[in-house]
This record gives sequence, C-alpha cells and structure tokens, in this order.
Amino acid sequence: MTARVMVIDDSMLVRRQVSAALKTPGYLVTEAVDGVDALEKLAGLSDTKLIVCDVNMPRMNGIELLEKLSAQGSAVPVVMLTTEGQPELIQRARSLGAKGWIVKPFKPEFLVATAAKLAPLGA
Amino acid sequence: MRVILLNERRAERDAMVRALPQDTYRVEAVGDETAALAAIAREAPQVVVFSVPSKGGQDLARRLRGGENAAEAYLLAVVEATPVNKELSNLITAGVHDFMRRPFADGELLERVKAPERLLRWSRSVSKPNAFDFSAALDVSTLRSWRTLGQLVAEDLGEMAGAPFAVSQGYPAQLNGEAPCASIPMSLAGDQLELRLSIVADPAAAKWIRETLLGDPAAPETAVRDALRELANTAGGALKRAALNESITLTTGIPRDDSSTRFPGKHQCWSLKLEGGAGCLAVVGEVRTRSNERISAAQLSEGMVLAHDIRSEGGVLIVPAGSRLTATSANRLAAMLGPRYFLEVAPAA
Amino acid sequence: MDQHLMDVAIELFAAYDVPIAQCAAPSEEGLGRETYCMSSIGYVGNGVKGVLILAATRAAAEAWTSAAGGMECDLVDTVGEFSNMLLGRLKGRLLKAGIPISLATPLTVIGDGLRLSVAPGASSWQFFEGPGWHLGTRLDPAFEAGFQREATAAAPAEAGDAILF
Repeated sequence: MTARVMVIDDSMLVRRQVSAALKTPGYLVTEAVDGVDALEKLAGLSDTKLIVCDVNMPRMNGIELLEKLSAQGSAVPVVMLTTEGQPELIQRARSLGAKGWIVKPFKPEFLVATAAKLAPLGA
Repeated sequence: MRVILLNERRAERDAMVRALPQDTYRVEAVGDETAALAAIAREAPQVVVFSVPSKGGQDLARRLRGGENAAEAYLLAVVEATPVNKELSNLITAGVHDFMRRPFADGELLERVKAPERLLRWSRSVSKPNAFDFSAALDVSTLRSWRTLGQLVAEDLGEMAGAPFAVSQGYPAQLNGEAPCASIPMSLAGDQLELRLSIVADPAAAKWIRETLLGDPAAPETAVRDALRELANTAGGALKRAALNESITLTTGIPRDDSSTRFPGKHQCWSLKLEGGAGCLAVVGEVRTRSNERISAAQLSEGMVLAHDIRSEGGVLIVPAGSRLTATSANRLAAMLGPRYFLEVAPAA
Repeated sequence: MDQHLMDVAIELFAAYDVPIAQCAAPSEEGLGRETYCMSSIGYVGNGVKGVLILAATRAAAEAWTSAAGGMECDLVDTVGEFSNMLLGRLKGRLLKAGIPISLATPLTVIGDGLRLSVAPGASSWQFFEGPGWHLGTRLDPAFEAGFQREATAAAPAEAGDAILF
C-alpha cells in the first residue's frame, strides 16, 4: 500500500529533495509550486494523506494555505518545511492545525520519520 | 545654555536677565561690544542676544559672529518697533537668525531663546541618528549575526551539501564578470533598510550543483538557477534565525535570480570553498536603504512589507509589523480596510 | 523576572560604558526627596501584565544624557528612552524564558520629590548606583491564575530541527 504526499514549495530543488526522500520508502509524491497551485490540485486529489508545505511562497504563503485548509475543514495533516524558525510563527501554524515544523536544511530521515508518524504506509 | 546679552540700556538689560531662568541659562549680561567680544572669547555661547544700535547694526552683527567661539552661536537681534529701510534683511545677511521688536511682551525673550534648542533637536533627529531617535536606522554592522554571516551561511549550506565549506573573507578572485547569482531580500521595514544576501557560483560550483544537489549532470541552466535560489533562501534563513537571537526580526522575501556584477549597497563578501576543490560560492551581504511609502490600502500588492501593526478600531492586532504581503493577503487587506485607509509600507524588493 | 531585570539593567548601562552596581535601598524619605524623574511602560503577555517603573535622580538623568551625547533639554526623552531600552532587553530575555510580552510606549514625568504609591505585588524596588547617581526599577508583574510559560521553544528553531505538535 502507498500513500500520497503533496509537497508545496516554490523551489524545484526542495520539491525534488522531498520527493526523493519520500519516494524511497514508497510514498507517492505530488508537487505544487505555491498555495494557490496546491489548492487547485488538492481539489482533484482526495487521496492526499500528508502535505509538506513551505512558508514563504508567492501568491499564497504556507500560513495562508493553512488558514484556507482549516476553513475548508480539511483533515489532511500539514507539516511546514521552511527556513523560518520564529516561535510566534510556529505557534501560529500550530494554532491553525499544522502537525509539525521542520527547519531547512532538513535531514531526510527526519522527514521520513515524520511522514511515517502522520501518514503511515499501509494504514 | 550659555547666553550673552549685549544691551547698553541697563534697565532693559536687567529685565532680560530676570526673564531667563537661572537653572536653565547661564547668562552673562554686558553693556558694550568690547565686553561682549571678551565674554565670547572666554567661553563660546550658544545664544547671543544683542540690542541693535541706530547705526552699524549689520557690522556689529558681523563682529559678534566673527570670532571662532561665536561661529555657531544663535544670534537674536533686538530692534526698534519700526526698523528702518532694509535693516532686517541686512541683519539677516550679516548672520542674524531671529528678531525681537521693542517693546517685547513678557515671556517673549524666553520663547525666542528656546527656539535654537528646538531647532537643534529637530536638526539632530533628521540628520544624525542617535540612541534616542526612533527614526534612526539600525546600524547593521553592530549585529553579530551580520558580522559572522559567512560562517553562518557556510554551516547551513554545508548541511545541504553534506560536507563542510572552507570560509574566507573576500570575494573569490576567479569570479570575474557575470556568473550565476541568486539573491534574497530581507526587509527591516521599520528601519527603512533592506539586507540582500546573494550567492554566486563559479563554474565548478555550478557543476557540483548539477551533480550533487540535483543529481543530474545534464540538468538544464534553469535547474541550476533554481538550486542557487534555494541556496540563497537557506542562507537567508540562517541569517534570520541568528538575528532573532539578537532580537532583530527580518522579513524574508522571495529569492530570485540576480546580477553578480552589481552590488550597489554597502556590502561584505565571503568565499565558501567546497571540499576537494569542487568549486567556490561567493556570499555577499549588502545593506541598502529603502524609503518606505505611504499608500492607500487599495494599492497594496505582493511583496510589500508592513512598516507598522495594523489594528482594528478596538486595538486588536490584525496583521503585525514586518509582515510580507502575498497577493492573497494584499487583496484581503485592501477589501477589509478600503481605499481611504493609508499605511506605511516598504516597497516590494 | 526581577533577576532578569537586574541583569539587563547592568547590561544596558555597560553598553554605554557606565558601570552600575546594585545597592541598598535608600530611605523612603531619601528616595522621595531625590527622585527627579520617573518613567513607566506597561507590558502585557499571555496571562501576565504589569508596569516597568524607572525612577532616577536628576544626576542620573544628566549622566545618561551626557553618555549618549544629548543636550540638557533632553532629560525627559532620555529617561523615557532608557526605560524603553531596558524593557526591550528584558523582552528578549523573557521571550527565551517562555514569557513573550508586548510593550506600551513610555510615559515620563519630571519634578522634584516624586513619590510612587504601589500596592504590594510580586516585585519590589531594585536599586542601582552609578558614578554619583542612583536609579530604582520595579516590574510588578501580575500573573493570572493558571499562568504557564509558553510551551514552544522560546528561542528560534534551528536548521534541521523537526518539531511535531
């Protein structure tokens, strides 16, 4: 069994790194370039089990995406993957329902462990 | 404040002395020019108040101002109720700053003598930043995180690379002319400053990016530039987190492609060498001043950074100072606040 | 919080090359007679609020103004600014200690023989002496029932950190 993860980041390099890290244990990875792109794609992908999302992106940033997902009543867990480390921002994301916060540059094994906890394969 | 009073009319001179509070002003009152010049030579005054004679007032003003000690003194001339002809303009030409006409009302002398204090404070606030000036820009060079930027960036990029960088100060000599460069703007909207971090790659580093970071020796130029943008993003994150430890909050922008041959702001450079001569990255940290703009909420757009908190009428914080606007938040704020609401923003980088 | 206040006061003046040291409290009459200026700044956090009070002698205000290159007419502004800087430094420390606060703008009064009436609180005066002058500070934080320090790390997260909520 597999599980779909959506990675949202305006950097192709990051999307590639996250994809590589998560495809290895068997996740299916979809990419989006910012919050607007992600919402459009999520509307057509009901099997997304986890979202890995950057904060600073054009058009709609990661916090704004969290607000939208929360307003929609989304139950998909979201983990932020960002260079930001401000406690206030982390708290804001948490209050909007985010399930985790990973600071770049990230260790692939941490990302995989996080995915295993929030969206275990075979669940 | 030291004040020299030159007035040959004794009664008026005594009244002027009484009008200036002793705990604020050190007044030396004299009756003739010789005594006035001697007093100026002894100790520089901040203010010289002098009674203009019926003839030669302009020359007197020049002589009072002529000495070294009076070059920066504030000259206040006491003139008759109806000065003759071009007396006032001649006095201004001679260096007089202000006038009082006889008879002067109670308190007028004190207010006139206070004027230079107000002007000095205003002048300092607009031209000379100091510890007590809210409008004074932050001196970025005092931040430890800025001074050690090269090392900070090297640590995080080393994590990405999976191998440490050797850091040295200075722009790499081999990077002449145009080279792939990405930069990330970081705003200090409240201080009207923008820090810009740039990462430049030499050809060997570009090859390393393809082979190691991208895992594709044939990766196109666009992919290399994307990777360089992410390196700039990582560098910006390192600086931002370090600055936070010094209670400085930077607002990160979106990294973008940039030119490696122009760094117009005040800047410092480091060279980051990859292991085994695999290439070299330049890290350039620049400080640019960016004047804020006052605009209508209807003009908000992506990339602008708020220079102050936005609060509801009840004082509830809606958006904090330092927030970078996306298209989403700009539109939302414009709709919420309306075109008649004006705010101060740092323009988009 | 009183310990943090003491530390930042010493740190702040050291930044202006003015060494200060804690000293014994002057007598009630002495404090009232000598106090020339008093500055207050309100602060509020999640479950805590209070007011920083900074009381200084005229000699103190003059010395600080001189240390920072200001003019005699700046005494009121100087005292306000020093209290602002003091609380700003304290804010940084409290953030790391899990107590983030927001600050109001300073209110400063000058006059001879100023006295302050305070209800017994969680704080008391801390006195410092500098070269020829004295300074008193107090925080008076009022904690609400059930106050807890912020659960998330007060220091910024570091590269590589992975936090699960």
